[in-house]
Amino acid sequence: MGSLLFVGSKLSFYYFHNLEYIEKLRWKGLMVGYVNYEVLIVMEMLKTNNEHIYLPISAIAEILYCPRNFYYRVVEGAQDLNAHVLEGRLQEDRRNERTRVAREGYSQVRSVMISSEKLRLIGVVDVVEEDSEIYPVEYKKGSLKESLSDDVQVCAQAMVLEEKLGRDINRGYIYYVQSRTRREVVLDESLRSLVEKTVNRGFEIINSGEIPTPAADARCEGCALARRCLPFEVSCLVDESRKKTVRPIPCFNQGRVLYVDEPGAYVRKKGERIWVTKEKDTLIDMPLCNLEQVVLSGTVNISAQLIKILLERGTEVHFLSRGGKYYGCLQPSLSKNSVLRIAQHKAFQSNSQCLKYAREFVRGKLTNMRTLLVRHNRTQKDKNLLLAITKIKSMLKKLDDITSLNSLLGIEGICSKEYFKVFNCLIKDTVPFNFNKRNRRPPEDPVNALLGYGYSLLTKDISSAVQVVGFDPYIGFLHRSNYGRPALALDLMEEFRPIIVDSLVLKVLNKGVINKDDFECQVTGTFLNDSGRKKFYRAYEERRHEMITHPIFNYNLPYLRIFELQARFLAKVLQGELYEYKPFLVR
Amino acid sequence: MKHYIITYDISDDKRRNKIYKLLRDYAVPVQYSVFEARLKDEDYLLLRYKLERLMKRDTDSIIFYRQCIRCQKDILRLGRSGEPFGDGIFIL
Ligand code: SF4
Repeated sequence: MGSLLFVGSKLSFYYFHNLEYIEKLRWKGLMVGYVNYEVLIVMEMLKTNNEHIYLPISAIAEILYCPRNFYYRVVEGAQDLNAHVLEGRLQEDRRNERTRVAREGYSQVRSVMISSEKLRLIGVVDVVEEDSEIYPVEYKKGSLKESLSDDVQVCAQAMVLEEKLGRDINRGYIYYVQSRTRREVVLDESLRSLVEKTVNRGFEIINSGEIPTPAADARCEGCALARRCLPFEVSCLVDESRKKTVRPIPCFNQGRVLYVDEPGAYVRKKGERIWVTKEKDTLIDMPLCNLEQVVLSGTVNISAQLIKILLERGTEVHFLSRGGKYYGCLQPSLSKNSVLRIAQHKAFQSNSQCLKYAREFVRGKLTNMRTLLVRHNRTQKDKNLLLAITKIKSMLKKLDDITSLNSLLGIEGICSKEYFKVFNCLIKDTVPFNFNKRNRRPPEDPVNALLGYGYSLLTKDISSAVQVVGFDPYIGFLHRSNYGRPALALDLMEEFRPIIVDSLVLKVLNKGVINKDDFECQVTGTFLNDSGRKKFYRAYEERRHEMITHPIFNYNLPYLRIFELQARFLAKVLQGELYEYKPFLVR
Repeated sequence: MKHYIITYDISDDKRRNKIYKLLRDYAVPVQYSVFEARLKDEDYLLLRYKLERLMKRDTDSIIFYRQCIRCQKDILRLGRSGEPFGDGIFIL
């Protein structure tokens, strides 16, 4: 028998196979934080000793339902949550609040933790009931339905209980919360052998590290992992004929973004809200829910309390200087995806791999630069523009024959020079700004200043995309990693520079959104002033939220989601699921 | 993101206070006893869950009215009233 442990005043008790592991877990009551303890146990065990891997019982149903789901949850430690999962957890929580029920004739114990050495399973049985017989009851949200994976889960619970109690169990029940009905499951031989087979399959996946192929069918509709898994996109990239089936996943979050650029403002927490004050005035008092990013610029104070709660909720906090320098961000601790980071470091060690990815980043950048010029040339028909366009095109052809990083950087340098040589032609004559050459730190003229601000804002979003996916942001392929800069973010950024920032700068200048009054010239360089910065932040965020048709999948989505999509594709290439990284090319 | 109008009627002062505070964390008080909010499904579930734990079913009442996009456009606000936070960009 395992050890017996009472938690709080609740009358539930738990059997543990090994108390040591459990002690490491923090019992957080099951409120907003959600420690997925079953998975945690497995992760702990993975680290210490391979022989003591125990699978969570709930994973049995997952393997049957979609093995890829199992892989993400258990191997990569994904804890993605959506409304469906949350609803299930809240229902579970409500149940646990009620105490032990003993009616005439039978007694009931809730949330029993059990484990089995033979099957190497561990988990919680929602309810164990006893009348003349003993049997497990599994709670499911939703209404009565036949589902093999649920049956198998109950059967697994029963088999583990049998081992613990030394009694035979012939039936189990599934209780459907919505329709308030139970369904009996008879635990026959075929079901039992299916449990064993499924457990074996689970260990196979863990040991081989193979990523199961996506289901890409109706199952993915309500799946919390779809955002990470990209079932339709992956199967389309692997097999072109499935292109038609791709549709955007409705789970991307168009959360709120809050910029605070008020010298002396104080950002703090009030209840579960963010409260920004300056002197005695309240600037904003906004609920934290659905807040995706907080960007602080200049001398703004933020309270440690707020930082803590923001990190807990997964909201990023970015810091910019008023001069447009990107300082960095606070993000929740790195995601658990160590598998990806190992793959990334491996690729970094190999020169040919580095070159392979670096080439695609440069290809993306140059192609998009050219596209931007071509777009403008449609109306302008300028000789110099045409020259630059053909030059970049001829350089693009040479990319495939490149054998060293240095020659790649050479090509990139030549093209960028050509591009910025003609950049001034793209600014309308009526606009009182001129661009001679690219300069920075400090920018000497307004156009360079704007470009600098824009690239900083882009760094903010790409580095957060890179970290959300679970990369190590400091290991890059094109940008070598010796400057202490987020090299991988800079790599992935290349393809977006022309289409996000350069074109945005041209837009705000040509449309007169930003004009001479928005700049201040100092001895140290040219910068945006207070009103100019705010206008530019807005313009940038609007661009980031702008919808665009994806060139490969033909669906509409905002740029902010494309950053993440590209980072995810890179991850899938590194993990061997996709063959080549394709930069994001606009038409 | 869905739009909700939330109204409540709570008999006990202390509990009303607590519920008011909770609602403020998710929604904007637009009038006495009336809140409005734009919530993701996850936040809606959490709010509902927390409210259910605070309220007393036999004496209190809380109602969520969900508004479709068309109805949101038809909302008419006269005079002085709050407005829920929209989506997107806030620059201070
Ligand atoms: S999105 Fe589909 S393929 Fe991916 S884990 Fe979920 S169910 Fe499986």
